[in-house]
Order: sequence, then C-alpha cells, then structure tokens
Amino acid sequence: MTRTTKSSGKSTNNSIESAKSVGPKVQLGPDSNNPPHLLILPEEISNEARIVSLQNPRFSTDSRYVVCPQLGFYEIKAFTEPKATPRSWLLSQDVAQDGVVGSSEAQWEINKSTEPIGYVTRNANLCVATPIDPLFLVLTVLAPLPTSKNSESPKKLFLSGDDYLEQFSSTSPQFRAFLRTESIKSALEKRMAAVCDTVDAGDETMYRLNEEKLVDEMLRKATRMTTEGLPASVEEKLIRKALDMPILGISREESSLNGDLEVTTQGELGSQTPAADTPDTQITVSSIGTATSSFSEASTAATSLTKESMAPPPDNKLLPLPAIKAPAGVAELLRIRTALFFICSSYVAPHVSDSIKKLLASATTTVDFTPLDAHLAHLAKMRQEVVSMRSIGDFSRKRSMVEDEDSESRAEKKRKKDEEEKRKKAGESRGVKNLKKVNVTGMKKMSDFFKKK
Amino acid sequence: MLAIEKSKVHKGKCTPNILPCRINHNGPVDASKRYWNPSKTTDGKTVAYFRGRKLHGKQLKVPKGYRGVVVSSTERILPKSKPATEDDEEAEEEADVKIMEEQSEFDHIMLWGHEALPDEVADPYVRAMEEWIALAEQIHSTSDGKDESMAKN
Repeated sequence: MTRTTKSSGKSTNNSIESAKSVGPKVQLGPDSNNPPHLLILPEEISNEARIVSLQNPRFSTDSRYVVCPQLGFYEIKAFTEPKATPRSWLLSQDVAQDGVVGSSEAQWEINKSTEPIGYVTRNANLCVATPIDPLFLVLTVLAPLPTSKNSESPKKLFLSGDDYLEQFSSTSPQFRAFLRTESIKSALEKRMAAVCDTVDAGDETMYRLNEEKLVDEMLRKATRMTTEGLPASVEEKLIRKALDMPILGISREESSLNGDLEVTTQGELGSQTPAADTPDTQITVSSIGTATSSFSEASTAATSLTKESMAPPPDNKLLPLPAIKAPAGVAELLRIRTALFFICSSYVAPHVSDSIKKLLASATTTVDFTPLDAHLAHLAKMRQEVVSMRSIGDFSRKRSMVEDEDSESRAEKKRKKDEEEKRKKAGESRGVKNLKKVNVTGMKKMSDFFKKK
Repeated sequence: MLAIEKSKVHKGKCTPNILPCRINHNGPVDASKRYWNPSKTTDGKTVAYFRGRKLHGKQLKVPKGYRGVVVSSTERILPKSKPATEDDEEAEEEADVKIMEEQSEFDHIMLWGHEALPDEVADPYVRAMEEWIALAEQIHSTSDGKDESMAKN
C-alpha cells in the first residue's frame, strides 16, 4: 500500500528492498510459540469428552486425563525421544500410496498458494490416550493417606458414593464438571463396588474399602495382563533374566578345567551318574546343590556339568528364545507378580501398594507365590555359589569375578578422565606448560609484591 | 480443561514423520516433493533423502480403535451449552473450557532412521504404539474376561 501512495523516489527504494528480501529462496517464518501436538485418541470419542487435569493416583500430582461420558476415562501418556537421539516431527502431506496421486497433487496445488504444507516441531512428543480404570482414580479417596502417624488407622466409615466423589473433586477441581454426568458417576460407583464392602442405606449405597477385595482385583488385573503375554521387552528383562540359570559361567570353564581335573575326579563322578538320567535342568540344580565348600566336590560338579553341556548339540544357544528353565508354573507366577508390581508402581499410591504387598505376603490371597519365592531364593543361592566356586576353582584367572564386572565401568571412568585431561591440556599454552616445570621453592610469591605496606 | 474441536480449516490427512535429528525450529515449512519425497524401493523398503542423507523408514500404524490427531491449543473458550438453571452457584465454579483445534489427522506415522532401520523393539515410539496401548487395555479393562480369569484361579 505504501508503495503506491508514496513518491516515486521512495517507491524505487522500496522495490529494491523487497528484491533483497526475496534473496534466500525459502524463507523460514518466525519460531512459532504454539506448536501443534500429536495425540492418539480413541476413535469413537464423543464431542463431550474433555481433557482434564486430575490428581495422579500414584504421585499425587496433576496429570492429564481424557474423560468421555460415553467411553469413560483415559490417561494421556507422553512419549518423548530419548535424550541421546534427538528427533523432530516433520508433518508432511499424506503420501498417496494407493494411486490417488492426482488428488493429493491437486490438494497440494491448492495449499501451495495459501501456506506451506509441512510443519516442523522441535520436539518429537507423541501423546497417547489409553484407557485407565477409574478405580485407580477414586482409590485415592477410598484409601486416603493416614493423617497422623501414631493414630492406629481409625475405623473406616461407610460413605456414600457422592461423598467420595465430592472428596475426589476437592483434590481434582476440574472433575467437578462431570459430577452431574450420570454415566460417569455410575461407572465410578461400579468400580468402587468391586473393591468395597457395600451397605444399602435407603436409596443410597454406602461404600467402604475392603483391602482383600482390592488385592483380589489387582491380582485379577495382573493375571489378565499375563494371559496375552507380557510385552517382549518386559519378558526379556524381568522374566527371562530373573529366571536365568547361572550356567553360562560354568560352560566357560570347559576350556580351562577340562584336562587333568576330569582324571582326578573320575571316581567321584560315578556317584553322580544317577542324576545324569534326569532332564538337564534338574542336573544343574542337584549337582550344584551338592557343591559345597570342598574344592574337589565343586570341581566334580563343574566337570560333570561340562560333560552334560557338551553332550547335547550346541544349537541350544543359537536359538533366539530358548525355553525358560524353571519348575512348572514358576515363570507364570513371576509374570503375574511382575505385572502386579507394575500396576502398583504406576497407579497405586505408595502407602496402598505397601499394604497390598503385605497382604500378598500373608498368603490369604487366591494366588500363592510361595513356589516362586522358593525358586528365586534357590536361584540366588545358586548364583552366589557359582560365583564363589569360580573364584576358587578358576586359578587361571588373575582377576576375580567382581572385578571383571567392574572393569567396564572402570574403563568408562578412565576414558572420561583422559578426555578431561586432554581438554585441560588443550586449554593452556606451551609457555604456561613450561613455566609449570620451574622450581619455585624459595621464591617470593607474585602476590607479595602487590601487598599494601 | 480442554475440549477438542475440528478446525474449520481441517487439512485432512497428514503423515507425521519422526526424523532422526533435531530441527531447532517450530513452524510451517515447505515440505514439498522437492525437499521431502519418500519412495518405495523395489524390495518394498521405504526410503527418503533428507538433505542428501539416506533415511530408512518404518511405518507404525495407529492401532485399531484409535486415531491420531494433530491439535493446537487456542485461547478460544467453549461457549457454555447448558443454560444456568437452579444450581447456579455450581455452574459458576466450573472452569472455562478452552478449545483445542484439530488441524489434521493421521492413521500412521513414519519412523525414520539414518542409513538403517530404526530399532524394531526398543525404540520408544514403537513401544508406545505397539506395546503400550495393548498393555494399557489389558491393565485397565474392567469388564469381560473377569469370569474367565476367575475360573482360572
């Protein structure tokens, strides 16, 4: 507008300026301070659904949830890129993969005239709304934190569902908007009923938390998680590793111990042979179990093991997922317990999860974990024995096992130190370096010359 | 409190790409074919070149029953639908509902790795899309299967 109204001299100036600003072919707009978010939502979410901040049942802080009168409650979890590998979003036009290139091309033409079609965001956050059992949300009011320590948990009172919800909305004020939504209320009360003793008082139902029911409910959830199988990463890290028999350490000794020891212990080996008929797992258990303090006995176990492990074709190791070696049912129990602890550590307040664990230990529940505990204790003992056995029997090694494990972290430390030193050295000049070598004993300090007299 | 509403200038479907680098900028860019043109190779792999670097792509589908949306927050406030009736004082307490505008939607995202495919198992985005959603549904399902698992015990 200015160009047309101003005098001719100025207009030429302007045109030069505008020509200059065209210079770089693609100009980046200013940094937007309101970048879009990427969200994965349930498909059939209704228009009345709201994103609200409610009290997180585990950490007692505010977290984002989606509440939908029709579908129920969803929690929003944000997934971000790991710090080590920074990433960014680039939103681009949907690539027409099934031959609709024409239409997308046309769309692009339209967009081109108005605005750029892509969008870049600095952080690659992805928010995912997944269902959450509203039970966890109301659990904070069903089992409130005991106010004072010394008072023996006061007798819990029956309260009506409305009272609980009122309490809940006092900690999560944004929930208040849903207090009058009938479907939300009934969903919550239904979940409360699953873990509470109920009493009918007139036309109202009163609730009081029953911890045994709560444990049962949690166990039911954990069992359900395991029926479909735990995620691969969890299975690998927490189940397989925990139940791993410490065999690998022994098979290493094949090379170092095979020769003379086998000769010396030949006689004793005879006594071990009956055990050799039983399946592989049993052997490792029994033979290591007998390996007590005596060195010769320990080495017997080792050699008998090497024989055993050499007998079957070694393809066992090459298989991507060998079967877990554990008594029947133990792996399943561990899965259930892992699932349960996961639930407790992400959705249940610490004081409640403590009491859940206590109840679990008291063994009044539907699932009995004692075989698992026994097996885990047994494994721990075995591991310890294998380590000690190795440190005695393995005279070819100069360093002990523990050191070996540490060596990795030590190497890391050393590398860091070296790097630091290098950086320091790079910072100082040759003159300064040379001066450092000068013998300064008996010399006056430089600061002495600048003192007030 | 936020409500999600479709924007009037809804852009239809888009493809969110996770680039294996950080671009220190938030804002619209010209992602035209000239600069960003993922293509399929003959052996079925997806390949794109970003500033001359070869990226390998892995498609992550949004699980069934879910949809992906790109939303941006606004300062607009949702007009209160219900007329204030007898419980006036409660209505006053209700906080304003801000509107999140749905700009576009997506049914898959592309995860890109530099010169190699991203890790199939450990990548956080793979786990978010494939592991977490399924697991969360199992943890939090409240009905069904209840009787079945009880019978098992």
